[in-house]
Amino acid sequence: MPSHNPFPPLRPQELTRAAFLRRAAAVGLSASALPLLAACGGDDAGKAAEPTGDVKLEDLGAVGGAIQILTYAGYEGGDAIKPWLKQAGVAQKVTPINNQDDVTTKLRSPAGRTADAAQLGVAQVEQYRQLGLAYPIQPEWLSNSAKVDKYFLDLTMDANGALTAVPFVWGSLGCNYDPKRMGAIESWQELADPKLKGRVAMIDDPVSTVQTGALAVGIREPSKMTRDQLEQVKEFLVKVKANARTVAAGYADIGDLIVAGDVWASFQGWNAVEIFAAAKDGVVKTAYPKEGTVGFVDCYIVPKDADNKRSAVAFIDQMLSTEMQAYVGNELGSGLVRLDAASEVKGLGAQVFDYDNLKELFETKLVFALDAPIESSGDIATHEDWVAAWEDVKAT
Amino acid sequence: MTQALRTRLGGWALLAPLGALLGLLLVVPLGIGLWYSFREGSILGIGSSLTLDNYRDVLGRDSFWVAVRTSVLYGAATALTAVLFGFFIARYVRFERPRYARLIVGAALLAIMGGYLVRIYAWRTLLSDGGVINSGLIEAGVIDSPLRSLLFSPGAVIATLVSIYAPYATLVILSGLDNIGDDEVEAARDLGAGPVRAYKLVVLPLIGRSVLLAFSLVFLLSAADYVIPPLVGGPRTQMAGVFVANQFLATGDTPMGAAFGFTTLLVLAFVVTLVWAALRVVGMLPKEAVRR
Repeated sequence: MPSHNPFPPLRPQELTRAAFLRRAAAVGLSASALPLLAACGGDDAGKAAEPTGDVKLEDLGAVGGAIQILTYAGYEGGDAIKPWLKQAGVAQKVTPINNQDDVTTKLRSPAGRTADAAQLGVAQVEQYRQLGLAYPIQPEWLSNSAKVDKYFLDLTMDANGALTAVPFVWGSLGCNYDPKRMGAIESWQELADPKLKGRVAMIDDPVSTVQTGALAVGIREPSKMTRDQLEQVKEFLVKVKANARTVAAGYADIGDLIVAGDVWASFQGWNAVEIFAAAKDGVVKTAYPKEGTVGFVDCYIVPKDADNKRSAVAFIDQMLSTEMQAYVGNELGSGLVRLDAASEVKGLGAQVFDYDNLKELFETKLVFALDAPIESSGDIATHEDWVAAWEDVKAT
Repeated sequence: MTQALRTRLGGWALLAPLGALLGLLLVVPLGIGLWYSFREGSILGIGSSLTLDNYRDVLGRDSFWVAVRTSVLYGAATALTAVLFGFFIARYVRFERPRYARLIVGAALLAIMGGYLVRIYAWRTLLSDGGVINSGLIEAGVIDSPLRSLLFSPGAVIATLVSIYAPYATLVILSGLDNIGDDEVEAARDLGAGPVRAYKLVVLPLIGRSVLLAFSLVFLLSAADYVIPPLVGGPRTQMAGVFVANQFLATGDTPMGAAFGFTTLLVLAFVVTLVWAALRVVGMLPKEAVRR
């Protein structure tokens, strides 16, 4: 029986779809060859920012117009900043970020160079100096700088006496836990105990996770740890991960997971999660294990290529005002850099930190750890090593 | 100038805008990425010398290959489920309820345009320990305590990926089935083919390219997804996209990120090629149907 071909050949066409696309691609390749070659050169290595010791505040222009801000949701000042914006004639445009790397990536790309103010954690201040991303701010440009605790200003002051970044909020990355299901942990090692299998959440943040892991294994200065020590940290993190039910995308997620009962504790957490959880009628507490807890100080920088530097400086100054510091404590559940504003923090926000005993907290519980260096120096682990270590832990 | 040459030049001129667009948005970025992947880099910038070190590092990173394996497995499982799901919906609409076609297309478009994160969190609400499914089962007395394997598991990742990407497969397959005339299927039935044989000989070969396209689209999108695993997956659901993202965002090492990206692309393209070959072998991509 002859085979029947159910698909008779189609009438030959002058241009099939396939041929059309092939030709279009060929034309495209020809048209784009020149820009391709032009784009393949270049080296965008950072250059140190010029000192601003001779620059007066008036030289930066007048306050007004629009400012673009790269920062975490809430750090822009929420409703509390609006009266000042209106009075100063400043329009605020905020681009929310998820972590510090978002800022670094944006500031190093052409699109991000339009930012006038941006978030910077104190752990990365040295990195930003090396990359030359921040415009040095003279303390006298800020009317409220004298009221800021010197401890915080010293963290970001450069050799010329200028501020690479202006600190306005601080906090801790302790262990968030559900007090209904467990007590406060005394040691980070407890989170590696098999009795907590499936009850722990880790967070997908390479820097703070490696820093906390380093403290947990006894390394007090994570930024100076060697590659061998980083291996120790990895081993410990793998043990914690064996108990992890998930690696959460962000700190707000940690609060949701604990409130929902999906996990009991986090490696590591954030004191502000207590406030987030309370807003959802949940109760979350923060423990400070004996090995130390990573502390953070968040700041604002003015990017060196900012268009509206004067308004950005005015905005940053306003974030140091009594009313905005009260906002930081009440709405963000975070620490104030102006201790004279502590009396303005009420309710749950006032319970997060004991402002009368900050010295004890800073000296015995919190470690304001730095990020790893970005360039290799001897056997010291770099930022890239930390990220790779965390990727390895997650894949284990 | 001859008529033939004039016609040919006219054709090229008409194609130039589309070609330039493809070149600008696809070929140029890929070309730059490929070029960068052979250069030294760090957060401080991109060096000028050429190197194969990035690819050596990629090949030597065990954790990356674990993530690639996870991506391929989850991507393939998602694509297969989405294609089957899409095929049965599209078949029903095309051959049994054609008047629902617009409704299905509208629903699929709505699903595609709907909030990505909203749907992920909806799955969290459904699958969590205190979620709708566990609460319902406990209320019904089926279980005493929550099923902890629902959320933060490979199944949760695949279910979420399917719910997000299946509409693409449905639309593509529906479009393929729309090109099949009733007379073609009826001719097969008149010649004695049963329903299964008619599908095998007529319908499947005619929609083979749509099936391949639907599979590839869903496979590539889901294998490259790096948002869903951290939100609904367990601690071992890291996918390859995370490595690419981390190099661009966390370490600022663009060349290394490009090397991770192109290696992932090669692996995923290889899988799609395997699927193409498999469809050829089972007769779903006959050469005769290519120009349809």
